[in-house]
Amino acid sequence: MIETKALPKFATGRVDASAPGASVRLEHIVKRYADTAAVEGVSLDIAAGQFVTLLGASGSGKTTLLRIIAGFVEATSGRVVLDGEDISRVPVHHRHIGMVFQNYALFPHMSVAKNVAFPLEMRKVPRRARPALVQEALEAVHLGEFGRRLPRELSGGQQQRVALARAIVGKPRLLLMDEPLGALDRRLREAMQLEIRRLSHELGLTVVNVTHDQEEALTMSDRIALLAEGRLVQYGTPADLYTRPNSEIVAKFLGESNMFRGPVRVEDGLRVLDLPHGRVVVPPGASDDGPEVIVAVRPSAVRIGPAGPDAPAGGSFMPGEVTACVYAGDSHKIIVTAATGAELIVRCDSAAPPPCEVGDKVILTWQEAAGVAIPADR
Amino acid sequence: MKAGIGVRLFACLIALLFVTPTLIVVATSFTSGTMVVFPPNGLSLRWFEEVFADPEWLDAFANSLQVGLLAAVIAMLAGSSLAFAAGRGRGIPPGLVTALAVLPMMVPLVVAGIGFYLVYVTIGISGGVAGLAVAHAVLGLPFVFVNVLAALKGVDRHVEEAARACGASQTRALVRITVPLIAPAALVGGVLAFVSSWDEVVIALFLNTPEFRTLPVVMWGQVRSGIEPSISAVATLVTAVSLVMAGLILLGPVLRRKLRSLWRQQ
Repeated sequence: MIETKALPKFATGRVDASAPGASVRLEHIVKRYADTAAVEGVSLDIAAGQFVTLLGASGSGKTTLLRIIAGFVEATSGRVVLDGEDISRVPVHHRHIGMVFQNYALFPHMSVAKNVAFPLEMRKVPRRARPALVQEALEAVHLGEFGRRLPRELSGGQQQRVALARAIVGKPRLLLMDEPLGALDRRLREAMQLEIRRLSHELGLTVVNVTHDQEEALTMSDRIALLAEGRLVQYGTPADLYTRPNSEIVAKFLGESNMFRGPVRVEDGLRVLDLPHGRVVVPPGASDDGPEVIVAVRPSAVRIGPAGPDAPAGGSFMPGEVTACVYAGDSHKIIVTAATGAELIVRCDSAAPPPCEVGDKVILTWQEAAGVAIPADR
Repeated sequence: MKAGIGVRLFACLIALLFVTPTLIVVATSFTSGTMVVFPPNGLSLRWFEEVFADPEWLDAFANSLQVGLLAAVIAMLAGSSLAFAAGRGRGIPPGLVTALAVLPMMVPLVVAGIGFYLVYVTIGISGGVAGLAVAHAVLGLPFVFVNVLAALKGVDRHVEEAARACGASQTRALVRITVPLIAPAALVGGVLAFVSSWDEVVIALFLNTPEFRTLPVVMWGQVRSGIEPSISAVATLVTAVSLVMAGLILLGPVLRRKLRSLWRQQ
């Protein structure tokens, strides 16, 4: 991973090139509407130059949180601290942020160049200095030739690039993005993900990005803050959240997971879940204070084989019956209804023919280390 | 779905029905005789010359023009403000604002005329450009209001927020972003307000004095004392002005696009 402190080539006009992005601290942010709480006590520390994604389903409070950081919404309580300075009461236009919206939100009556020049004009950059900065920003998003066009004459992807240029031209202390790629098609989205990441690192920007797309979060972020029902569930690197989810919500949200839930008992010196069928070994790590534990296993870690008369010795296993076998390009997705009634997913390499057919009695096995133990939500 | 031949014929017939009386009046204005007859007896512009030589008509033209323009400006300002109150305001229910703003369309003109007359007589501002312009502005206000409100609903709130994030205060975002975006709609409303003032006769009758008359009032008076082809000539001119206004509304966007592409080429 590229470290973010490298001096960006784009920083020529910057007032203080040594400190590109600002650090952000959210201190126990609460937002209530009438009697419902949109955000309930979120605290978050974002280091300067970091790319942080607020990830969550709709209604998780991620957008409200972003709008509080931007200043469009005033928090009921809590503080937003930018580079050590409390900006909770600073109006939007004095926060020196850049913002990208899902639907681009370009000024339809202004040319692309005028759109990009707008923040410079508002921040009283001398008139003579503007065209060069505008051109620089447009070239950074590969739209150097498009200054005289109107926004409506551009494609969606191009419009979003213009919006990005407009957001970064003023060298903001903080770049906020509200589902910036939500309106683009898949291929364009993936190209833009890489490009936004490259730009933000080149410019040393601190970025707070909002999305409900787990793939986007995993690809782009230095840190992911997963929100659910207005609360911060887990905050860490993409790898942290993916391999060591701290709760059922996180495990469900990031990638596919097979979840087994039950009380723990000891059998032959092994800690296993107390289930009527199969054997699910509880890997070390989960706290035992709850009555139940969840063991999550990624579909690609599960092996599938024909059911035999004897239970396999050692390791975890679960008998079941194949209910669907789907070709998914890079893998076969096999859906198995377990003896416990749960629906499980297995991913097999698609280079080989599928190992089973619908209706087959099978047995699923996996290594103890492939599972993650999660304390069950109470 | 394509309209069938029958529907198209019917539409043409109706259009003809609407336009014919105007066409006949226009035709009679070019007569060289002294009677309003159709078809006209010979062709001449003598009645137009007569109109342009008559100070009463010229004064009335000037009055109508001033009232119309002032009414359009007031209607644009007030109608746009009310549209903002309905579309963006907090506190007052938007439904209430809308109901109030389109009320002038519902009130019978005679009632409005009497109302303005009584109020103006009481406060002593009867018989002037300003008084009639205010009354006409009230009539024209719904045109502006409806147009601007529709335009405002089409303005993405995120666009205003983007301006704020770019460093614009609420007022600057309004002036630089929102107002330019609704300006074309306000202008269309203003033109409609002008046209509605231009040929309004009921309220103008209530508020006229011997020194201050608008075109429709003078026409009305002339018609009552016997019809001369000069009336037809005035009617033709009034229609021409209205048509030009309608043309502006229709051609406005096209012209703007032309100007833009010219600007880009230079």
